[in-house]
Amino acid sequence: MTLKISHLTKRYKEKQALNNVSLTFEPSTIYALLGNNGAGKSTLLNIINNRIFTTEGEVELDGEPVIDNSPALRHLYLMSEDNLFPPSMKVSTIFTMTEGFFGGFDWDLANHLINGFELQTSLSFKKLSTGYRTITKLIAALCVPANYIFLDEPVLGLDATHREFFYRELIQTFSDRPRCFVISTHLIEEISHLVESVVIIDDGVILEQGDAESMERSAFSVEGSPDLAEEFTANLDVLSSNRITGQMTVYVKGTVPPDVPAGLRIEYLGLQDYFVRLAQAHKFGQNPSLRTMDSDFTDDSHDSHNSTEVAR
Amino acid sequence: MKVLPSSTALPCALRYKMRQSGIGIGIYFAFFIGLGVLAPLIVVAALQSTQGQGTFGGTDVIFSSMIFVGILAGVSSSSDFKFFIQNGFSRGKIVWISILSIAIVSVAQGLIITALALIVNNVFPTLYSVEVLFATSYAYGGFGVMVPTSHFFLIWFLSAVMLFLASSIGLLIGIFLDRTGTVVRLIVCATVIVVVPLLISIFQFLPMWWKAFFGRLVGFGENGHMTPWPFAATLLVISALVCAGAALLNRRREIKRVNA
Repeated sequence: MTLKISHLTKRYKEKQALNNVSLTFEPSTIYALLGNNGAGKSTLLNIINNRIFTTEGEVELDGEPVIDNSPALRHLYLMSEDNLFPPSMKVSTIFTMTEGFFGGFDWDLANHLINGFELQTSLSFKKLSTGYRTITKLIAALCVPANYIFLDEPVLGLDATHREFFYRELIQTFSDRPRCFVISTHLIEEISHLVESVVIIDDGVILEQGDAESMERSAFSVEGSPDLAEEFTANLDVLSSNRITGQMTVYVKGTVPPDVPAGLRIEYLGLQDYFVRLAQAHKFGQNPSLRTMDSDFTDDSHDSHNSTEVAR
Repeated sequence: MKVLPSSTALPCALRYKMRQSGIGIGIYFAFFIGLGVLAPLIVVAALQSTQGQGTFGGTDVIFSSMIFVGILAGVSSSSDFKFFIQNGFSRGKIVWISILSIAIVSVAQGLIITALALIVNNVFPTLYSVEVLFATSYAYGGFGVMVPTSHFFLIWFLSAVMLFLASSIGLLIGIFLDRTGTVVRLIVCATVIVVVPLLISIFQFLPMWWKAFFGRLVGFGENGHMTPWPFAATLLVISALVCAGAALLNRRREIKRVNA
């Protein structure tokens, strides 16, 4: 069962939210859908899940159109920050109704999650806090028998303990019953160890798609004196660079060349850093002079604990 | 776990709608029977005991019921759409579920109001009456009779048809309000406010044969005789047109974000 998205375009009056997006989501794979605010992530997920219409393009599940097609839609489930459950409905009723609609529900997992999250199922949905509304939606999403589960900001309002519990249970349920998860989140570091494949979207276009491990090793930073760093990276695919009080950091896409001069420090970018630099490069793509940012401040965006120092 | 065919979801969706409507109808009849029947009945009985047989009370049940089922259909339209979309329903199925559920609610509510009217009118013939306006007149063949004491099935049928029309209008308004913004709503409201009195004015100036034609459409015969079937057929045709309008409006309906 493969979900294929072909040439998806969504235009609003003022804005083009998606521009000719083509993607394939394979079964039994965990994807990360990464993008800045307004990049088009939620628009894409809402179109796939029949909540809004596309301007152009197709979404197909095994060759069958998905849009407004009930039999195909029953293989898909979107959990998002939008609250679509009736506010006065009890949490327990939400789960039994979901079972009725989808013809199945993993009650063992549901009860385990209800206990783990300490969710009060006798309360109505509107009486729950933001975090517990998210938890209710997460439980429904993890327990439906759909083959494609889309999680749009799945940890919104969750504290650190609950987030960790969710990530653990996600891995567990995936190994128990492999299916396709597409996770859209801003907390990239937290999910980087979960995902197998990554889709990066910006300004409504897919910037990159590939497996997470190779993506984490597909870019590196070069840190040293400006002259040395600039000379070393002159013929490389530079994403962006920073100058900080006499030091320069250049972010480069590609593999590390074998002959790194002494005085330069090379580190692989983690998934988050890679995403930030790629999005930055795309944003400033039409104005290369903006790719270099001069600053007297420390660059916090480069998170060293994610980087691997490579041999000089 | 296996995903079952989508047809299995329909009974579940209908059960959800029936439970939701049942709660609404229960609340409505609790108020109507308490405040519209029992309370005035007690007052009239007390007055009769002090003032003699001349005191008599009564109320109509159909118009308040029509307003209620119209509001019920309109108000639940938005939350139903969100809930069903969340659970993998197509827009076509959603509108069919809505139409089917308002039809069932109309038949059920028609049954209750007819039974209520006949019970009250037969048990308390000298104290209090529950009228089913139009339905009674058509069932008895003229405007002279307002208080039904028989013709159970015909009054039930006509009540259900009137309730179905009100519900379908409520459904259409609910979808319209969900799909449109303030400016469009104001323009449409203003148009309706202007056009309805205009049509009434035009009707007054129509030739007699046109008036007779429209009269026959709603079952008005010569000598003030009223026949129920043309009336019911006309209302059902109007309801079908309204439902078709609701289905058309629903075809491109989208979920409004955020926390829509």
